[in-house]
Amino acid sequence: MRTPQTILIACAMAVLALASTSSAQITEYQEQQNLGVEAHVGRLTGHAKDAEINYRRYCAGCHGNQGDGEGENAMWLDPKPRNFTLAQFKCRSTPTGSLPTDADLYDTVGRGVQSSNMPSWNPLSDQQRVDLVAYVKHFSDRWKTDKPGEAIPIPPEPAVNADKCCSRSWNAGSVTESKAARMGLQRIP
Amino acid sequence: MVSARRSLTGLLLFVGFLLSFSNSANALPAFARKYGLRCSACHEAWPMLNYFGQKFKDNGYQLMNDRDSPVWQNPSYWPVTFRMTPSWHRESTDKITYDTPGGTPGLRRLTSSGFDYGGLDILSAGTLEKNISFQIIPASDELGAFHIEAVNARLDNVFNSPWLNFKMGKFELDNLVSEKRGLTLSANGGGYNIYHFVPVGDGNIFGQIGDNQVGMEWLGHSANDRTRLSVAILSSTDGNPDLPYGSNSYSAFFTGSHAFNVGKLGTDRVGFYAMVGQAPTTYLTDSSSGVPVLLPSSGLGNKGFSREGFVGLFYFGKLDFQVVTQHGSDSKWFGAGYGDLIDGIATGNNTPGTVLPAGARNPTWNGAFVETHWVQNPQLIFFQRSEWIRMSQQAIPGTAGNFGNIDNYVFGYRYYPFMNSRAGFAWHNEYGWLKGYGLAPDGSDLTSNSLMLGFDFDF
Repeated sequence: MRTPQTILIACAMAVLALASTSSAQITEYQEQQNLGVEAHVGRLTGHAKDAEINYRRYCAGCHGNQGDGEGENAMWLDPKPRNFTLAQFKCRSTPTGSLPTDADLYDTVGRGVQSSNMPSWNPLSDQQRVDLVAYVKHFSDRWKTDKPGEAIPIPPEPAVNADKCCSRSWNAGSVTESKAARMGLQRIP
Repeated sequence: MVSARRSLTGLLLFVGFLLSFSNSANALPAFARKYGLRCSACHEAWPMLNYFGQKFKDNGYQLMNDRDSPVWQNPSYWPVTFRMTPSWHRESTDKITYDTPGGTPGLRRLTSSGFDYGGLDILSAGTLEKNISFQIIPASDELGAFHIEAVNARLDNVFNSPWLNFKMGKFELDNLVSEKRGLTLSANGGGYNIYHFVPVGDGNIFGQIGDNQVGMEWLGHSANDRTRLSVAILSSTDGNPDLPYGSNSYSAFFTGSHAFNVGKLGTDRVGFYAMVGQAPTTYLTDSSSGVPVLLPSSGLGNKGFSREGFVGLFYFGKLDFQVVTQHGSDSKWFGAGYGDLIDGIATGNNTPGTVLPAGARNPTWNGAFVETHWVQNPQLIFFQRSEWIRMSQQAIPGTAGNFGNIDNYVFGYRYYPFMNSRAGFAWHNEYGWLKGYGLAPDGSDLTSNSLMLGFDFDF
């Protein structure tokens, strides 16, 4: 009778040990695989492993420890924080569907995102920011298989004259009524 | 026996089950709740600010995005935080005077320990509208007696310039190393001595740069907060309301600093501060009742004082150093015991005909502290501070040159079991040791120490 009870206790201890370390094992595995990711902006090289603490400090509350956009604040935020595991970003200079450049992510970190809860993190040093870009990239394997798209060149701003100005139209929500009126724009129904 | 083993087995399985679903606790104080950021975003280790937090403060508690105005918040949002620190602590002081059975006073060490709690801070701050911010801090002592620790309103970014920010009311001086946000809490290590130092017997309470003061402040900073300057004009009242001292005496506090990147090490900052001012040493009295009574607000005979020094914040990865130096000087009148007579701090009234002791001079001193932090991660920080004050000139000739010198050493750690944007909680353990030269009743050195273990929390 003693043997089955001993085995039962041993099993319970094993469950306890596994439960307490299971999530850490997954994280450790992923980090071993991906923490070597780098980011390059200008002459700076960012290393994901150097941004672990800063990601926890500044980013994880919204973007989540796993980068899945499910941080503890996510449910209260609108728009929702970006899910880095999908490697899909709105603020980029590259074509739709392609990965952004490292500089795109770097600029977003430094500039913040207007009309969202993402603040400007420009108090962080350049190196800290480029390290964070590398850390953001380490959440998705897509960065291993895909290359960032080519940056879309932005043509010079065309000259504005009264005819062109008055022939332009606007969408509700893109500009305010008063501003549209000042610019002489016609509303699209 | 079998039943006990089954119970143990069941308990282990239950704990294992719970652990398999466990996650870090969630919790946010006022600013963190407003912006949805963890405490660690603004605090190197709560309550000490990091660079991001300093910029947030300099911008008038604004992230400078389109959600700074309170109209963006849910109407139920209330920008209030409570902070308190229950603790166990042990205090020990040597050479306490006591009555012996023979009737002659003796000296002995006095040590006491027990569970305790500190005062309550109620902190409310934020924006009234975009670029108009406020701060109100009613605080109580351990017995619930409240006072206004801070109350001020601020116009931020006037004419859209970060160089034009104006604040009026009672506020903490623009100390780069903030004592109000210090990590140390114990009786013998909690405060910064050089922020409150006056020589023994000196009657000047007005030059305490660690006390919140009443006045008006201009703060200007570059858009990225790398360069910052401030000037505050203050009433020489040491933050007390109703102008109890009178005499139209004013002080001024100046700061300037610049931050620069040092690659992977972080962002370092160097700067200076200076406080210069005047305060009364003479008070009118009224003897119509037969006993001379001091007349509040009647202070005259202004005398000068100054404190100035350098500040440096240096980061080396997880290790950082905060260095503050000070050179201080008081008028010889303060040094001879004239000054704050209203609160009974001064020993003499500088009425007409008063003569200083022969050879009296302006007392001067030099001091510095170095506070070191090892930030293992945002949830665990180790700290130490070493502080020294040395008198360089005593007010009264013949006084021992080292009389009133101070050595202070403190070390400890804070552990934050969780990190979120709803509340702050720290397990705080600290030891502080203080030595005052020549301050024991028998003229020898007086030492005291504190050991503190407590819960420091706010929500």
